[in-house]
Amino acid sequence: MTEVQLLQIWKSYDEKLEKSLLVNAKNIADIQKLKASSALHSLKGIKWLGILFGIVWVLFVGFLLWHSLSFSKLFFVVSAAIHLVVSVIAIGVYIKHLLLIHQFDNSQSIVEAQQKLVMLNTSSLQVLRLLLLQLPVFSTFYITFDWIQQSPLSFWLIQVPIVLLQAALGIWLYRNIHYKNHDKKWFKWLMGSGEFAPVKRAMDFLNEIETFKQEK
Amino acid sequence: MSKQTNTFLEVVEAHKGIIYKIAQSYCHNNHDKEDLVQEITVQLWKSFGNYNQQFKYSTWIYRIALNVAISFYRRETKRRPLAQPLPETIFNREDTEHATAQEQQLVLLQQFIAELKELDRALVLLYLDGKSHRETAEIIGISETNVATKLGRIKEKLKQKFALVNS
Repeated sequence: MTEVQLLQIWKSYDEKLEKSLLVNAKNIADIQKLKASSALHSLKGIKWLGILFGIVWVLFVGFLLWHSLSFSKLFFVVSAAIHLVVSVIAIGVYIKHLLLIHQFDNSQSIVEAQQKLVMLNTSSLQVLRLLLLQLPVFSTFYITFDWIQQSPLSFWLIQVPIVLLQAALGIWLYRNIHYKNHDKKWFKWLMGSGEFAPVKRAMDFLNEIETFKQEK
Repeated sequence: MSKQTNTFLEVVEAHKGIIYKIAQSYCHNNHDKEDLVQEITVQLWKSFGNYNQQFKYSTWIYRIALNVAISFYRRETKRRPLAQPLPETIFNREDTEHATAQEQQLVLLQQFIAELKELDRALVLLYLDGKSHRETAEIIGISETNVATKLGRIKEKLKQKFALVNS
């Protein structure tokens, strides 16, 4: 099969289509009333849900924080404040994603549009990284001065190492959960199944696009 | 019908082959193909108001149709049905002729195209439709040199597959 033959086959297909393909004008006109089932439709819903749930949660934590403002509850206040700040940032990230979804333009070049689409589909990872960064606060909010005084051994030998371990793990995950690590074993294990499986697939495609862009 | 609707109809009529061929290349069955044609047409209509006259209609249509088709193809297998499917199809095809030897080769070519990766598939469709390297680069978003290199490889792959089947 030569190149000329390939093009001839395609040309004859084109000519045949030109003759046999009839456009249903009435249906095209009806299209104006339809809503598109775009690739970002479901993602928009997830982001809205995240924003609404986030606002309700922030209000709840803010309420608890407001009514706990005393030195005796210092650990709770600091932990809740960190959690509140991280949650507000996460809501901000979700709002930014929603704006990007709204501005998405299908008439961009294929590589540019597909790259943006994949980035948007994996954007939940950004929020996950942020949320993991605050891991230690879930082991500090219940600490009290009474506990430290009455049971110093359990505090210093059990609680403090747990908090330090969580802090180290949180920072490490924050720095390493990135699509560039998609081929690492731990990443495949963490992302390869369940609700993160589509994210993993999207990342594989992102990697494919990067390779496609390279001139080799 | 408004002036804008009429212009849109004329544009779709003039480029119906592009939409059909792209849908054919990214779908495995007729039902999906009809859904994809509808989805492409809806997206074209939605973007029609923002059409950038800097580009030719064909470039604009290729970009939207290929982007929608690739996203459609990549969507999870458990795909949601269209929000409001139309009762009839957008394109009707009248097939009266019997399959000739050339048509059998066409079926093989379509099969080989379907085996390519999504982005390579877009490249080969533009090549077969006679787009220059410059236009292809503009639609895909890579350099002309890259288009030439990749097309060379894809053409070689297609030739090998034909040789294997025809031998």
